[in-house]
Amino acid sequence: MPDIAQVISTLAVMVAAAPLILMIGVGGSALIGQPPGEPATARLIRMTVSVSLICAVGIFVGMLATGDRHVVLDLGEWVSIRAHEGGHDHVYPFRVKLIFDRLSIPFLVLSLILCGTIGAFAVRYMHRETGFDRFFVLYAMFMLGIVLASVAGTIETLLVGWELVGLSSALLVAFFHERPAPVRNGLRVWVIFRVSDTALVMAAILIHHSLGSGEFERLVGAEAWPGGRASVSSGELLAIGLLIILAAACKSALVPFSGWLPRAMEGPTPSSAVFYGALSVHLGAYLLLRVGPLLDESPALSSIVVVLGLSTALYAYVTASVQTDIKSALSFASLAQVGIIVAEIGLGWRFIPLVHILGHGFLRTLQFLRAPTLLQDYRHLENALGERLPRGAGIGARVFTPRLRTWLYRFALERGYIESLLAEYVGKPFVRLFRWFDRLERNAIDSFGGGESASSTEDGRIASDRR
Amino acid sequence: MDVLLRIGGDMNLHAVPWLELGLISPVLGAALAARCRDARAGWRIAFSSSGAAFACSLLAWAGHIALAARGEPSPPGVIDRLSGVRIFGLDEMTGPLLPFVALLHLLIVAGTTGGKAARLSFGSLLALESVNLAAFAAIHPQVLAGLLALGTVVPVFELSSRGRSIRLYSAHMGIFLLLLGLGLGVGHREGYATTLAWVPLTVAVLIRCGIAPFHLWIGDLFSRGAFGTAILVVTPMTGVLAAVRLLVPVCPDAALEPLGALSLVTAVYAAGLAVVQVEVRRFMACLCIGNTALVLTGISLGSEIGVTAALGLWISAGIALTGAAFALRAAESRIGVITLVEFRGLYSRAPALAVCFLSAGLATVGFPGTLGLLPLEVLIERAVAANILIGPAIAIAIALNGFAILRAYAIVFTGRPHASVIPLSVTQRERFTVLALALLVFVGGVLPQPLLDSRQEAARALIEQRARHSPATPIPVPRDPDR
Repeated sequence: MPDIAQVISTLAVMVAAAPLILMIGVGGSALIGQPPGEPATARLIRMTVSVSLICAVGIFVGMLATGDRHVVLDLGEWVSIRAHEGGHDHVYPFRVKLIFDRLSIPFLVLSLILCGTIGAFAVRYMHRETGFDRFFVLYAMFMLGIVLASVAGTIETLLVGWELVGLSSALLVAFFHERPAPVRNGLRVWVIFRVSDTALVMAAILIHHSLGSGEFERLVGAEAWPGGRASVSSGELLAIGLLIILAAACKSALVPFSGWLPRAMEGPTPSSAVFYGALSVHLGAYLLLRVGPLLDESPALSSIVVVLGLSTALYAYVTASVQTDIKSALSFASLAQVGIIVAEIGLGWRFIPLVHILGHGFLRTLQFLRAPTLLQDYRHLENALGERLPRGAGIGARVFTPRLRTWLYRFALERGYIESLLAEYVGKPFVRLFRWFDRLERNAIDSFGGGESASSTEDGRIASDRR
Repeated sequence: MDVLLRIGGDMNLHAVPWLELGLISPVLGAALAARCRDARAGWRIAFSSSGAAFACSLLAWAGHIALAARGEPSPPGVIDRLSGVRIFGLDEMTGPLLPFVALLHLLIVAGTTGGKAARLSFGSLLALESVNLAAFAAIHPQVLAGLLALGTVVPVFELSSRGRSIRLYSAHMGIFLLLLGLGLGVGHREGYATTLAWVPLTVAVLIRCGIAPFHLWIGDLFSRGAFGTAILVVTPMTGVLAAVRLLVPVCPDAALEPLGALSLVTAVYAAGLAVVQVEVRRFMACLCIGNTALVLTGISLGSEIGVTAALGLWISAGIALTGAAFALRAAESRIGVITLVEFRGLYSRAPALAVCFLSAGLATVGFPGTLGLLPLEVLIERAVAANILIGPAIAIAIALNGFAILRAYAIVFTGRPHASVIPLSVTQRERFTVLALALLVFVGGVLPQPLLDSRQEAARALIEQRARHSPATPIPVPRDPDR
């Protein structure tokens, strides 16, 4: 009879394998031009999510039975390059390790329950919608990404999940791609996620450089979460920590990267529920929890996290107050909670933010899924009450002067001017600089080889001088 | 790799001169296609001879692996016996590169349909393939230089036949050939890789690779030449071949440093330019320049793992760039010249092309699950080990390329569905290409170890060559390819 450790290992492999099968099944069939159709897609989703969830719960039960709170499944080196140079052995290992502990199991179970719920909802919501297959390819990519990110035991594995979540999110925001607005918003989301990916890649490389491996156990110790101790020098710790905070801030839409969140409203409601309400927006906070020992070692890093969290919460609260559509209001409300969660992490708490993530994730998913029927819900409530729902004046009306209230209102309406500041001082100078280079090149080509090339103008229009 | 080893071992492959057959089949195809006036028949000839070249080069590689596993040298080929000198052969470096180059040509030929097939000269495409394959199979430096020179001629004919100016292209290539001849001539006359030898060789390599400020010819070729020809001139990265065959084995570290620095700057610069492009062909040119620059950056690192990553990137980026360019070329054949200004809405008409462009494009930036992931990851890791500033610069270049690719995807494939009275869906030929590319990108992404193993052997051989031929030692004579 197999021992419990063996059973847990098998279950752990199946946790990650099930979403992979879903991705291959849905994506592969779409690639060869033979999409599986709505009923088969629904069955495949039910099956894979159920298998993954049952296995995750099985691991949890196994851990309770054995008393082991930190199960590491080493799937070995996916890729390894070894070289002997200058009298030293150099190794590049890409190790695939999965960690099941008090952090990853709850987040994994949350992810799978919500993915299953959203999957079941979306099968009906997207029924006969153009792009049904495309939606579920992206859904499968998202689910694979979030599962990998949840149980990643190495920074490389986390990075794979992180990038899958990023791309699927951006493409889902641009899902209704017949209209330009969702596509433009998807591109904005993608820009922020690329910054996040790049920061995480740099952090991964620095970790490799410092420790010779990207394993979290090497970085924060092999103690069961939330224990552990950073094993890098203070300078490296600061650099790695700052890069991870940047990656987390972009992914969780913390200030000043919050601009993508309302833009992401363009996606279908099921994807909004998954991203802004429940999972994607919490991924940054999850990463901070995973590297908690780094924050514990550095008051500077902890302070930055607290400031980021509180400023995000405040900003989101103020901005949410003036939103006029339910999805935007919910997304900013979500952000306010994420800000508080991040501040809690910065203050050194570990279990409170984890519980906060779980509770917030479930609540917000429900709210997002109910969002399309909000007016009907209000009508039911008011019918039941027999009167209009009460609308009290906010705290601002009692505390702030009219002048300050006006300023705050404008600030909130313009979403803190954050996006326009970033566009003005980062985006536009970049575009201007490279358009200038481009013009120089075209002029050089035209003057040397005859004027045939098209040139870009400031507003991105093409000024053609083709002959 | 094991499969190839088994095939090579079981079939006694070296009894048949697969390498020579692979080299000769596009030559024959070019001769036949040049006489053919019917586009359909021309395509059939081109596809058959490109397919034969690919199959033969694959078998030649399998034979090489089998012999190398047994520690036996490969017998000289027919051409070698006739000339009395080892001219062509496969070694650790070019073993997989030969089928790689043949595959790129096969994919472009296979995906040439309709109007493109009527306008494109299959004869010149096959002539280019012959020269490219011969260059990758050449182990004699002078022969390689001659083939590199010959490879510059096809685009000249192509541009001239379209009535386009060849001034910029021919000026760059003229200087390239002059410096190449000077570098090899001086090096061989004196027998040493002196400054007089490596400086012109370095500049020649920079020009052929399109490293800034010598990159204008690539944008020019893409803008004015045939898209298919431009892709096949640039994506095999023949300039990198010149670097690893003629320059890197003999040059001092002083040559590698500026080569690496300029390449790194070019990678970031080209990625920035790709983001703001308004023409799809120039966008593609920027991607090609940036990726070639990344390969050269990796080679200039000099460490075994860094060079391994760069050589892996050479193949992965070559395939991915060809895939992305193929999709854009197919899109162009449907809706004419594409500008990256207004949404074209091609997804609803040809979703397979959109998927092909996106997956191949993301492979160029090392997206998880694609062929490019590991080479780029390892490259950044080694770059950081060499110099803390190189790694972030590469990461920034990759991030910018990633944004540029999604932007191009959005503009070409999304938006209100393109109005057309004729069907624009992919043809069978194009579907074959799309599936082949997807298979390569994703299977290679899931199983990257064989590629990296093969590239590590090549990197090791290159570093050994460098160690043998330090600046004070003679330029290498043609070496036995199977040692």
